[in-house]
Amino acid sequence: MEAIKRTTPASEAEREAIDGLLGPGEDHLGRDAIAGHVVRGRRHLLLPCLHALNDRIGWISPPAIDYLASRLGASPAEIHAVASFYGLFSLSPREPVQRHVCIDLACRAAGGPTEHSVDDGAHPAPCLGLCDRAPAAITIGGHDPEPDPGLAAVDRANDDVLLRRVGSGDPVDLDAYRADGGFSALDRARELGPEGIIAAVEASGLTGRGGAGFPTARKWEAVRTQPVTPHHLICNADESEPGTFKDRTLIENDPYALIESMAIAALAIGCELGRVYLRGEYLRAHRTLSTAIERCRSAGLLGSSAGFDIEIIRGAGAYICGEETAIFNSIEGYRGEPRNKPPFPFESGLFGQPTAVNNVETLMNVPSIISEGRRADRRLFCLSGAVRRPGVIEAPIGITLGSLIERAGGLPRGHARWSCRRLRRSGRP
Amino acid sequence: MLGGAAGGFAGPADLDLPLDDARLREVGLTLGSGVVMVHDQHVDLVDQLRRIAAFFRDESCGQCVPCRVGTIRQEEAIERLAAGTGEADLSLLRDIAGAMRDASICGLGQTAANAIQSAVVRLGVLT
Amino acid sequence: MTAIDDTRPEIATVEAMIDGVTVRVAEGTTILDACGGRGCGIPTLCYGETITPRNACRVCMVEVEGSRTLVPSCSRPVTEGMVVTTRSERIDHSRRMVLEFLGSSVDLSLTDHVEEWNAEYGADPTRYGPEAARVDEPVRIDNDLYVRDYSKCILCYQCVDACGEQWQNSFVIDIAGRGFDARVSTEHDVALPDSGCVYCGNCIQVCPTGALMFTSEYDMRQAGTWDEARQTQVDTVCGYCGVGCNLRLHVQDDSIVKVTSPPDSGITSGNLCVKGRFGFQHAQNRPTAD
Repeated sequence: MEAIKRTTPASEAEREAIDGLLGPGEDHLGRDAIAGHVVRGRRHLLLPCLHALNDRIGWISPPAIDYLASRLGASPAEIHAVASFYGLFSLSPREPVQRHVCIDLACRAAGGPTEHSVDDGAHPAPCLGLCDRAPAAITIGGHDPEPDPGLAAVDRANDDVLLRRVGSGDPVDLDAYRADGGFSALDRARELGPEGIIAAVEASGLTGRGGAGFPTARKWEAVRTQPVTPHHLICNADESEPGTFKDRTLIENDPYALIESMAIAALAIGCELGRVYLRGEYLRAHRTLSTAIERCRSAGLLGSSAGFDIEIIRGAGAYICGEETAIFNSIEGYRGEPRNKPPFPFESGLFGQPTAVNNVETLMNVPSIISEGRRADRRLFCLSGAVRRPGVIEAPIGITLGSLIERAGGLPRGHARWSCRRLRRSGRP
Repeated sequence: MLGGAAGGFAGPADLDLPLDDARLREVGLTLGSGVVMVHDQHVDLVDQLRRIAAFFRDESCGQCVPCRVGTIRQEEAIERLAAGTGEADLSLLRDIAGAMRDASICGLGQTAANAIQSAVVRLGVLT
Repeated sequence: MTAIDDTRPEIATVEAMIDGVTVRVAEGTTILDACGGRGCGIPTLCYGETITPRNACRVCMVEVEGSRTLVPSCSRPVTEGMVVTTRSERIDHSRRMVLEFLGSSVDLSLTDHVEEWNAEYGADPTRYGPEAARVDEPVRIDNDLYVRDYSKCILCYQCVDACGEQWQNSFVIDIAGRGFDARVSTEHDVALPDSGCVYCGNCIQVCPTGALMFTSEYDMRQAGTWDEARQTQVDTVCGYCGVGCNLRLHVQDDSIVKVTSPPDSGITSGNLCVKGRFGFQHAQNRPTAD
């Protein structure tokens, strides 16, 4: 790599933002770029560094890119390439705090703006996962960003499994979670061992809830039996499919259940560090999950004594990063472009090592499968648009579309010229 | 809309449809990530399709040709159809959809035409 | 004296069926190579001999039994029992569309074989209308040695990989932006003299579309004097240092007009440094009449 010398150095604030993650830098500016394996081995810190710059300064300046390049042993062109990939980052000056206004399907149907009609100074944003309160907007950036408004709306029913704890008190109260039977599934999983866990998951019929529907037990077994180590677990929480907000709901309301689920999955596949790739716009979920992880570490449930830990990686506004191989490139500090398959993630995933990628809802099915032998026959549905009570609904797989819409209160009065019931008779509006 | 922008559209005749992946697959739909977005007669479905097309154009990573160019050609064809011109654009949309589904590297490109095709075929939007 | 073990390890092979014909090839052979490599009839655009294929253009797609989607033949290895079809309605449709997608968005006038493939697959890039978005980029002339015209770029990634870890390790260019706005770029699109470019020209060597071009060639094309029919190619060895890189001099009217290196050269694999690539002026400084 060729070192380039430019006249403008990074500002003190920019260097502080980066040094906060990489440690104090030597005075590289008068010298050639520092390279070497140790420096280049920190490439996975690129995305967090870009976030640090974006949150603090509001944008990523050319001198900041040069400084970051020198600190990571990469070229400025590579850093620029990554920074320019993500929707949440700006390469031109702007204020640190930005308003992002949803221009996507549910919000548009609810009278929200289009790409061309958002207010001056606000950013048009793809679906923010706030369809239950369309039209929606959030504020991002700054030192202490305000989390997005309120918890997601949820239609609870008595026989809910996945949503059982949603809305039932302080989501980060660890004692309450344990009093409610929390972490007993993990104890049971330890008794079962990896093969026992996978057998139980197989018997439950659990399949991926992110969209592709792959059998979870087969994925885990494939990773578990790989000779190459370490094995990685990634919880895909980059929920970006327009109209989807169930994973946000789960994390915001029941973070310990996700931690427990990941600990069980890690046990099954033989993994010591799990990663949650969390959508960059989900600030409340980030705050809730971070607090929950900290409290688990303090209680010895995560960390070196527990043999398993979890870190959160914040996405930066790219739908493609929910793709299971793009997620690897993004975490590793490269452009979030998908990789070719084969090789498949179970053999060559994150850092080229065996990796299981599971969606949040998929993982949240696991504790009750392990402790109660439950079948995975329920799913979460994200109801939005022209219904009386938009929100997340848990229902048995196979429920009819009409019944689901009725559970969401049906169509609002005066809004529709047909009701579900009438429709069923006549067939067409 | 079922399953999100990468999913498809069901119509009033589908209210008795059981939401089960195997059953949905038989009729060319998917549960995807569990999206059920309900639109009544006040919603401009053509406008929704324009946004779906723009969404995939925005979110394509640009690595492979079928998705990088296909998503923008799809959007252009939809804009023309929305403006009421070009019968030929419906078959063009089908052509684009086939190439994106068959030749894209990843699921984004492979599903970027799903919802639009299902709205055209199942609901007769744009026709 | 120790006896020399003369038994060579047997090369593992796999058997597959391609277009109804059984073939046996070494393990790891790609479908494209099993079919005879470049020129076998399967079109390729982003594929280059000296760079690991990224299979980004998707024009070489074939059908593999059991695969939901088509498969890039340039990079998918043949596996035991694989059943491959290299021509079908589905494949032809996909190739036609890729040719149309590229033809309607970038200038392929200098890309080999495009016209014949357009005819073969019935591709009509004009059917997207005059309003179809194109990659509209000004020609970048910011140094004396080569010119960058990204309105011809198909984003094959070969220049990025040649500049980066596969050959030069300079990492001066990368893909910036996303989707249709993705471009090969230096950081912030700075001019090459302000970047770390070492002018090895290995990016020009691998560019399949003429987006990267010697200034000498660009100037002659602008003046209408570039004529490959009148050019001869002379292979020689670079005299600058002791490495002994193979040079291929492209000569028109007794003047060197550009320099490449044979991609199959065991020494250079098509790569050169700035001296070998661009330092040819001294060779044609002839004494003047006075």
